[in-house]
Amino acid sequence: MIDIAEVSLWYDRAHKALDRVSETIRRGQTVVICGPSGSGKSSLLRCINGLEAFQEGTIRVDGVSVRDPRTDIHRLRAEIGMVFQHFELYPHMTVMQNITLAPMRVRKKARAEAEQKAMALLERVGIPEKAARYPEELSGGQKQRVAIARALAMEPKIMLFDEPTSALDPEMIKEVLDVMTGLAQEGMTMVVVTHEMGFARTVADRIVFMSEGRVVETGTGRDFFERPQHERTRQFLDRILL
Amino acid sequence: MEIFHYTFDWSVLWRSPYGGMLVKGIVTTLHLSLLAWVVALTLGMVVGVARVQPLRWVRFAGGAYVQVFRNTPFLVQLFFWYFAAPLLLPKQDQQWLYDNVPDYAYWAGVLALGAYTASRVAEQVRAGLLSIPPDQYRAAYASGMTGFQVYRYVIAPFALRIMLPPLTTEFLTCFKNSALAMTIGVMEVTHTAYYIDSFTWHGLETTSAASAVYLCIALCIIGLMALTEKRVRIVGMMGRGR
Amino acid sequence: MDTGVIIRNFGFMMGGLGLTLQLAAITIVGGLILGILLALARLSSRFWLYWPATAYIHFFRGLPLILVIFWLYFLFPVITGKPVNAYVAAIVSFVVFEAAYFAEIVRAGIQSIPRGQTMAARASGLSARDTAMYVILPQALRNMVPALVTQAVVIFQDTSLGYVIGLREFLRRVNLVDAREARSVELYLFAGLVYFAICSAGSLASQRLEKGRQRMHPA
Repeated sequence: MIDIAEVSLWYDRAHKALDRVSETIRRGQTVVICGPSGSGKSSLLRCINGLEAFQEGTIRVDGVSVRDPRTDIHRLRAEIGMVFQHFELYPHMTVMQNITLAPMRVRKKARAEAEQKAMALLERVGIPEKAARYPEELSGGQKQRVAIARALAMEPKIMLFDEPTSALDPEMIKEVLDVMTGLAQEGMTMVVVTHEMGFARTVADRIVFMSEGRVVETGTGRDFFERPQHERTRQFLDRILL
Repeated sequence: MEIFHYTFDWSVLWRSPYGGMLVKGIVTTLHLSLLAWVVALTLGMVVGVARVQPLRWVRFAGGAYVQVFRNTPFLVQLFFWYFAAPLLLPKQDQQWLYDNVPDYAYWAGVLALGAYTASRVAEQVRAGLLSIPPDQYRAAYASGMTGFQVYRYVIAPFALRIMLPPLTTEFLTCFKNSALAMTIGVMEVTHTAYYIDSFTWHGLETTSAASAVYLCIALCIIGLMALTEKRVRIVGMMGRGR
Repeated sequence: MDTGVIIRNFGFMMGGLGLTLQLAAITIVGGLILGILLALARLSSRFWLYWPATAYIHFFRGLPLILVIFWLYFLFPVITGKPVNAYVAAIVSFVVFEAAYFAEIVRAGIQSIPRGQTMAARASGLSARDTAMYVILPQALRNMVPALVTQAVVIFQDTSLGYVIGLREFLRRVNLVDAREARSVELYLFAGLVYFAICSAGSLASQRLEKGRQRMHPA
């Protein structure tokens, strides 16, 4: 479903953010990317929907090349949902408006239809009563659940999560992870950058460990935690798992 | 009334023909600064948006504009537009200008004030755009919207609200700077106050009245903007802790 | 283009730059002193200090500088009974006017220091005066420096308004040469260039200082 082949990305001549990264993510898989900060995890995620313009290599999503100038990048992005560390809800719109904006403007759906779908999604993430509220009136966990609903409103084939729980207070992390776990169980294809090792161990089909722009090792949940192959991975796990 | 051997004669403010002159001066100040503001806002938005673009030469052009106009006195710019700019035109156009635009000084004032204020507006626009986190742009693009839609529905409505207070200040600066147009002979209110002195020797009264006019208009604008700000306030976000 | 006109009158025009710099220097020093006093008064809890200072600041920030110059120019003879000297009128208007702007910079600088700093200083037994002298003001001043330099650049540009009451500063002299030689394009470009060179140096210094400050105190 997602084919990443030999992708390299430079921010400037001195700083190489990704160094010949290759990965394949199949339909219905959940892949967790972890690694120290500055290792290129978020950059890789942004390359998948073309938010970051990488210089070398190719990424294909459902066979469509992301960097090909003939590709309609907006149409491709509409098929890929994305969730951010700091939620990035639009502060001047209500929860309902946040969710219906892209379905109405990009998919050209009628308002009634978009709102009906939005309500169903809010039910699903457990906060239908917040539809008329503004983002700043919600708690962090609620904001992130709205952000997930907003991404799902486009009926995406793939969901990208960029550290979705890093900005949350501990007691709110679970409500967000529960929604994500549910999605994974329903067969959504997901790429998740996170430090939540509990989530990685129980939900992820595969874990990718990155460091300094490279993929150091990948493995299934159990292999990765119990038999890490590389010194860097061991050091990282020691630091993050007490 | 007599203080320090000076006899005040406030009737100079309404006596014919001076009363009419003062009213005309106030009206000129108002439409001069409003027209200049239209120029400043249009040009300033373009320059400000240019200053945050990824293309280097676009950024450079925007930066150069701001540097040139902010690092030379407005008075020099005014003289340049009034005395020097027409000489740069071909001979027959110069003649056309002198024959057909009798109030060229006024238009030079509008142009000079507009171009100068644009450099200040551009700085506020840039600051407003930079205060929006990059992930907010990414979130909008990730939902499949085009560049125009991203600015139209997500960035502009929010950025304009952030910019409202600093832009109000810039408008007041523009309004006050319009007084300098008197140096090229525009009969706005400051010039009128000074001019009446040469007939009546009562410049103290007229300049005091002009001061009152500036302060009253400034107060009205501040009040109006406070009301606007309240109306477009984002729930839970602005006017908090200030 | 005829650059000869600039070369021929170079000495005469640059001679005015001396007066321009002098006006700017006096205004910066005088305006800053008056501005600090106004800022302290505005931050005071005594209403008879707070209200006059606040009114003063709003009053002058609401007026165009050129109008303040005329106003004082007309007011002086009324008070002294003698015709006013243009130089004195210009200096007084500049100082009185710019002090209002300096006051707001100083106030913002003082208010930018978190209240925790005051509490920590007072908790360690320092007096209110020592807290201000050794803890608050040194930090506040460092925060203010970039804004103060920017304001100094603005003042340097504002002195060109001395022109309107006949001071023969730099811009006035350029204007006089133009009246004689009718070379507006060359002369005003030259004037712009001279101001630009000096002001960009100031702006650049301000940016450097701001970056240095942010390195020392992130956020």
